[in-house]
Amino acid sequence: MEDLLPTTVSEDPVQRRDLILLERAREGDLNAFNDLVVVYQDMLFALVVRMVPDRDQASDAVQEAFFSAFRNLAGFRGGSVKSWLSRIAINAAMDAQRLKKRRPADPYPELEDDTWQPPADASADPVTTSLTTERHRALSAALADITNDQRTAIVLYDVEGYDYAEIAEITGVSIGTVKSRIHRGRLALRALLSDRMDLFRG
Amino acid sequence: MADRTDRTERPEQVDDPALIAAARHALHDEELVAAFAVDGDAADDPARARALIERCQTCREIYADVVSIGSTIRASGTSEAVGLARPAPRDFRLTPLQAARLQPGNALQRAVARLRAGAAMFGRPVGAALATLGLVGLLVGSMGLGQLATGGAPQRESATIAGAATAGPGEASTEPVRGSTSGDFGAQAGASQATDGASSLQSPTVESPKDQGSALSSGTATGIGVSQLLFAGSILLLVAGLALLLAGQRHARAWQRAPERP
Repeated sequence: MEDLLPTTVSEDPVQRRDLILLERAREGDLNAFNDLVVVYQDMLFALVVRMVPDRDQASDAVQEAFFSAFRNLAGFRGGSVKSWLSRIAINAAMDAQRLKKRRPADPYPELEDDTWQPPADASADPVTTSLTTERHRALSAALADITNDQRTAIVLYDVEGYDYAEIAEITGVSIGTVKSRIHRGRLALRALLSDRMDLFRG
Repeated sequence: MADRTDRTERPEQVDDPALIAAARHALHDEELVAAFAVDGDAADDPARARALIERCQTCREIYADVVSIGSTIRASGTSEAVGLARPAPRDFRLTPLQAARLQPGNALQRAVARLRAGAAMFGRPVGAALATLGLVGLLVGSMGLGQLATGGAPQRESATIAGAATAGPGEASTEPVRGSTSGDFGAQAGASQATDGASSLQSPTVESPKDQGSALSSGTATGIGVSQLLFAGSILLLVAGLALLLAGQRHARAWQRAPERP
C-alpha cells in the first residue's frame, strides 16, 4: 500500500502513468516494464550518445541501463520515473566511458554523427540551416575530443539542465570539481574550435 | 668597452602591441573568465572577471566565445526533444529470457523463471512443429486404417495368389486337391497361374491358405493396434502443439504490442 502512494499522489498524468507501469513491473509484469522502455528509450539514447559518442557503445550502455533498472525495480523510492531512469542511464554511460578509457583501441567514428544536430526546423532558410548544421558538426567533433568528465558535466549542465549539486551527486565529485570541469571543458572546446570560431561568432 | 656598457644598460624595447597584450594576458585567469561566462554574477569573483573582460582584449574574446559555445550547445536540444526527432537505433525492450536472467531470487527460482520464459518464447515454433507432426500422424494413421478396413479381402487374396505363385511346379499339382477341400478357389487360380509363368520361381516353403489367413488376420490386428497407437499419439501431439501454439501466439502478441508514446 505504501508503495502505491506515489501513484495516487501524483497529479501529472505522465508521471502517474509511469508510476502505474512501474508498480505493475514491480509485481512481475514484464510488458509493463517494456512499456516504460518504449516510452523512454529514445530519450535515454539521445542522452547517452552525447556522453558516449560511439553509437554502438551508447546502445550497449542504454541496454545495460534498462537491465539495471529492471534489476533494481524494488530500489525505486518514488518521485519521477524519468529522472530515475535518466540517472541510471547516466551511470551506465559513465561506466561505458571508463570501459572506453581502458580499451581506447577504436576511435570514435565521426562519420554521419548527428548527435548534436538540433531537430530540423522546416521554417528556417537554407543558409541558416546550413550554418547551423556546420556549427553543430564542428561542435560535435570538438566535444568528442574533450575529456569524458568534462563532456559529462557539460551535457548534464548545458543540455539536460541539472544544477551543480545534482551533477555533483550523480558523478560523485564535489560541486567545485563540477564547476571546474564545465569551465575548463568550455575553454577546451574553444581551443579545439579556434580555427572555426567564426562559425560561432556570426 | 663603453660600447658594451651602453648595450647592457639600455633597456630592451618591445614595440609590438600584440606581443605586449599577449604577455599581459598570460597573467590573466582564463578559467575565471570562463566561469563568469557560464555563471554570470554567481561566479566566484565576478568583479575581477568583469575587470579582466573590460581591460583585456583576449579575455573579452574568451568571454564571447565561451558564451556562444554554451548557447550553441544548449540550442542542440534536450535529449527529450532529440529523442522525439531521432529514434534510438534499436529496440531496448527486454525479452522474457533476459528478464528471467535478471530476476532477483535464488538460483532455483531463476532457473524456473528461465524455463518458463523459454517455453513462452519457443512455444510458437515448437507448437507449430508438434501440431504438424500430429496432423501428419493422423493422416497416415487414417490411411492405414482405411486400407485395413476396406482393402483387407483383396489384400488377402493377392497375398494368397502371390504365395501360390511362389510354389514350384511339382508342388502345384498337389494344390488343387487341398485347395478343393478347403474351398479356396483363389488358390487354384494361383496354382494355374503358377504353372503358366512361375516355373523359374523357387520357394522352399509354402503356407497353407488357412495358415496364411490366420497370419493375415493377426497381421491385421497388429496393424489396427499400430494405427490406433499412431492415432492416439497424433491426437496428443496435435493437442499439445495447438496449446503451445496458442500460448506462444499470446506471448508474441503481448510482445509486439507497442504502447503509445507520451
